Amino acid sequence: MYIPAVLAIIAAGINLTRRVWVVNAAALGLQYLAVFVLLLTVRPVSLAVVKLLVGWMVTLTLFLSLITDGKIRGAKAFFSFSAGEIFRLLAGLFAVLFMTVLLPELQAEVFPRSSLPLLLAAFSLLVLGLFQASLIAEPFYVIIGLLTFLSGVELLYASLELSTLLEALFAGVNLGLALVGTFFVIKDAEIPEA
Amino acid sequence: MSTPLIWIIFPLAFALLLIITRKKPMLSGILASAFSLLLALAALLFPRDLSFLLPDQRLEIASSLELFGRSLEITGERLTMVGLLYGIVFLWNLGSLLYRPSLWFNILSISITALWVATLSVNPFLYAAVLIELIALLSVPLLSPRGVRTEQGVLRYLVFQTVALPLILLTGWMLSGIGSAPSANPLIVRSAMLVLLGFALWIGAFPFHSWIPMISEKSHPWVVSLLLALTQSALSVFLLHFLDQYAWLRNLPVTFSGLRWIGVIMIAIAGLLSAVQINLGKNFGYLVLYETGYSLLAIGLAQTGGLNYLAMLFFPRVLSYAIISLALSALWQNKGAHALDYKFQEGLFKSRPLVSAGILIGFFSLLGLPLLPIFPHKQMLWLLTAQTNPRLLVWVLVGSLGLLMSTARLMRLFAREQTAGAAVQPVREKTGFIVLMLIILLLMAVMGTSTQFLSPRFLEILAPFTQLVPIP
Amino acid sequence: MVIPLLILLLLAASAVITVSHAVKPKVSRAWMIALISALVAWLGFFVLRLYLPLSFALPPWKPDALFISAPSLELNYQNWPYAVSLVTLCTAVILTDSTRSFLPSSPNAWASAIAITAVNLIGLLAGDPVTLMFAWVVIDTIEFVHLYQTRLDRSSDAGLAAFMSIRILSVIALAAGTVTGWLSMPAFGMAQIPQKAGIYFLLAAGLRLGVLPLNLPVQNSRDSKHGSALLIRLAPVASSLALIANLPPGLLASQTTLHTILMVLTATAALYASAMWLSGKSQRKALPYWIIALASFTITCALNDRAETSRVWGVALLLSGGVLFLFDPPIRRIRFLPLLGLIGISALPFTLSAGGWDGLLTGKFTLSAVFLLLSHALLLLGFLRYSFEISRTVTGLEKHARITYPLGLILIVQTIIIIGLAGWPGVLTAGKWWASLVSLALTGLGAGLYLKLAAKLPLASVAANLPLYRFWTLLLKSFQQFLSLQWLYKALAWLMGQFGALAALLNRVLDGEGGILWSLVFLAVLITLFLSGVKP
Repeated sequence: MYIPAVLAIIAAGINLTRRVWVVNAAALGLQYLAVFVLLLTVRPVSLAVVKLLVGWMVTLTLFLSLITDGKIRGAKAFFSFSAGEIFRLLAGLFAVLFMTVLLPELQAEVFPRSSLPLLLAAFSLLVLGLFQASLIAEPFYVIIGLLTFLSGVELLYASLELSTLLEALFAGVNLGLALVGTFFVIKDAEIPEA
Repeated sequence: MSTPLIWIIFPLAFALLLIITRKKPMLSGILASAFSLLLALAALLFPRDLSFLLPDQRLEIASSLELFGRSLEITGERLTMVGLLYGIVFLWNLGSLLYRPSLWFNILSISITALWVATLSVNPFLYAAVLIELIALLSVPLLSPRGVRTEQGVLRYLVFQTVALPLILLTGWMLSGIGSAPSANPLIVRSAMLVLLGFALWIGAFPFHSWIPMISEKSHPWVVSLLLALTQSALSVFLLHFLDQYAWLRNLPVTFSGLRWIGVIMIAIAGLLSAVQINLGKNFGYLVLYETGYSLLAIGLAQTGGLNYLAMLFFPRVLSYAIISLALSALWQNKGAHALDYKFQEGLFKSRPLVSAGILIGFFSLLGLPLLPIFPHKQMLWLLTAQTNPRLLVWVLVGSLGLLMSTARLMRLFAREQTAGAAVQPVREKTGFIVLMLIILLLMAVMGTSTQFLSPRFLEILAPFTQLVPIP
Repeated sequence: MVIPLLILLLLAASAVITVSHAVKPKVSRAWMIALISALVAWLGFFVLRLYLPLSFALPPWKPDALFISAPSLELNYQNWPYAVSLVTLCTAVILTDSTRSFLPSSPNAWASAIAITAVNLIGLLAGDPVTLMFAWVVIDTIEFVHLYQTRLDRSSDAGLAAFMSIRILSVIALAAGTVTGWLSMPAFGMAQIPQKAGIYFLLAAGLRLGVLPLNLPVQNSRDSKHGSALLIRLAPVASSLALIANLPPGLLASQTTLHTILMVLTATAALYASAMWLSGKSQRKALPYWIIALASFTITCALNDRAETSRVWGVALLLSGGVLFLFDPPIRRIRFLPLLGLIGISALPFTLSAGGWDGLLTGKFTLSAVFLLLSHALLLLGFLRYSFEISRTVTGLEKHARITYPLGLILIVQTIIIIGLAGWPGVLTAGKWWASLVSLALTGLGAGLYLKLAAKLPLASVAANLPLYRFWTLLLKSFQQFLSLQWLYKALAWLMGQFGALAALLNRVLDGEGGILWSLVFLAVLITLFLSGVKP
């Protein structure tokens, strides 16, 4: 189960590091897929697939808003890294490493019934999402950061207990965040640059 | 028929219907005001046992509604709080007839209020965390409408509200493990920390306060004041739910003293920061934080009767917010956020006497000046604070002096008339603005001179919290 | 019940004048209404002297389990002299204003004079601190609006913000005193201020009177021809003076150092203000110093645990001051009338202020005592100076004004005499006769010097002829600057500026892009603190 966990972390890491819109949208989709695989260990497929569908719907909504906006075509130079990106990459790496070291103890003391790969993915997504939302002021990336953070929350909570109402509410929150993200992107695009 | 249906589902449905009228602001505003007034009055006048005696039968209204295996429950005792929330939204919808901050104002204000009511009535109430997140999402179009670039404050608001979510949810999960655990159990300390941190993020306690002044600087004052008034009032009561329900949290020695300290520190910091602001909108944000400090202080003083004043402070505080934000909206109208910068306020006494009076009266009211409605309650809170720990009063005094300095700066600015050789000219105010302002002022004056008027009614908000022992 | 009736009568008269004047202007009718209502109140208060003490309780705040305050009005020996003085001043203002009845603004001025008197009566008759706070807020608002409308310099705030801030600060001090008092005696009345709370009440009164710390009221206003302008300056002082008269003995019993500091500060303020009073450019410009000097006397009485003796200085401030300041237009022929005001301030045995020495001078011979004796002499000299400087002869007064104008002044003098004879039990006393002798001798010496040096020259020229004139001027100016506390305010402003810079830095950190991370850093610090403080 470490493979989907690592995949989820890599996807979140890409979103934290890179500022290439099409890549970010793809990474977000990949992240939801990895989360879905991890969820299969603690949830029936029918419930886990809801998360995947909601996640992809969210990704698609954001992606479509970028296309409408015309910004998606502006994404270029994937392999050139800015100083900020390197800084975020290093910060993310350190955070994940820190998690890896700390998690076994945390698992033993607080979450004995949750598996280590799931906890690693959940906490990494939490931290990377938080970094993402905290380190940049651009609405699109803040929303991706929050979606990543919420994925971490959902993963962690899924390993602890099951509540149908909560699942539905989480789906609503994810969709709401995507709508808000779309609203931000379109709204800002309408305003002419000063 | 059930109470959640009346005060949660119907308003949400009505808000959906209002979408049809959103292009007709006057009609939308009137309908929203009338509907919220109706709900507020119904909540305040409904019999507390939820039963009506008809000539031939007894009509009982159910207090709960099942939803996905969970329930929404509004008992008769909780209706006063519901009435307060709908009263707030009525006043603000009425004001929206004058200053329409967004096409969606009426629709979203009613939806958000319904969600706040749902937040306070969902069982188990930890699910409220997700509802609060939804409220934050619904607030976005109001705080950052089309045509305005997305500001950092709104994004930060979303981030903080989202970060609070897992903290509260995890508490819910931990609670199942606490049950009969002894008070020395580390689980209890962890849960308490999570709950209090979640609340700190929600309510904007220091150091998570930055989003409040940020949005109040850049967003329309009428929207900001509504959202913050609802949030502050509802979250204060929500915290009481926690304290009332969980003995482990209540019995933790640091819970109440911690709340008292956080409260007075917020009073001091917000008061001092208010004194050095250069934008009226941002200053209003600090005033809200100042009042959050008082709310936390009052909850921290629960064991000596502080909750009574918390409950009675709700309405006067809302009136103070209303008068300030109404005045700020008048300044904002047609000019935008920059109109609230201090540099444009010179000569306001002469150019807009009613607007300047509204701002100053609001500030003085929050400061706790006699003859204004907050004074009797704050004076009693000062007494309780002095009885509990006189050192806390020093912090309160520091905050009060900060706010006094802030008001003095405004007075200096407003009184200065001739700048750069140009004399200030009086501006004619809208009749509706004058009428609304005078109504609020009258209410404030009556409540300031007599505590009998309306205030005791709000003590009923405390009725469900039997474990917190409010003095009757 | 009679107390609120008298206040309501004044308020109603004010409303009637305003409304009737707005509907159908008629000056004589307005004047008659004003005069009759003021005279009825004046007589009413004299009659009430026979029934002291009296009280009127307003409905207590509900729910009574949650609130301590029970607003009430009280008339007792402590505040009766002030109430009578205030009503006398109001009546005198209306009588003397007959010389200005030709001015179109007169009826409004009378209406406001009566209303101001009524509101200030509530303040000085307040039976509990909350009622006093209410009255103070109303009084301050009225005064603020008046100052705003009459200020000369419109490009600045003309000290209005400082004025209002000090007033609100005094209300905060009063609120702090009330809370402190409630800790030991819930729902105490003004007649039973607990000892612990006394210092806050003293601070509140001191701030309003401009004595503790020394601060001068706004000087940047137009001189109004109406007596109501004088009333608006003197009336708010009355409620603070009434508060001082109620202060408990031993309010600084356990803090001797603070007591000594306050004593020296107050005596210095008295000396400074009386010197400024004597050397003022005109009687009107010197009015604030008259108030500060005599208010310092009243505060000294309270600090010497003889608050009740402060009444004589307070009444002298209002009535002797009133007779001098209302002597406008000054008429040489009746110059003796303001001179009669000296009966109130001279402190000679068996005059009104004779008993005041007991409050000012304790058994010991201290620096403060010297300062206070000197101040008294300077006050008398100033009073004489302004009375004798009158040299104009006004003609063309209307017939009725020739009677009513002096009548107004006589009314004040008459009240001084009546209070001096029967204001309260024990008012008629020889007092410390030696002190009045010393003060009188000093006054005589000053007057003699003046006559010898330059009888015909204005005072400024006399001063210039004094030895070491430049040195004294420099010393006085430095002293003046020190006492004005501008240095303190500048230091505070600097501190506030530094704090502002720090706050701006904090704002930049928290509002900037990394703000959330900074909040999280703070959170980590808080959690660490929390964990280190909580031992599960």
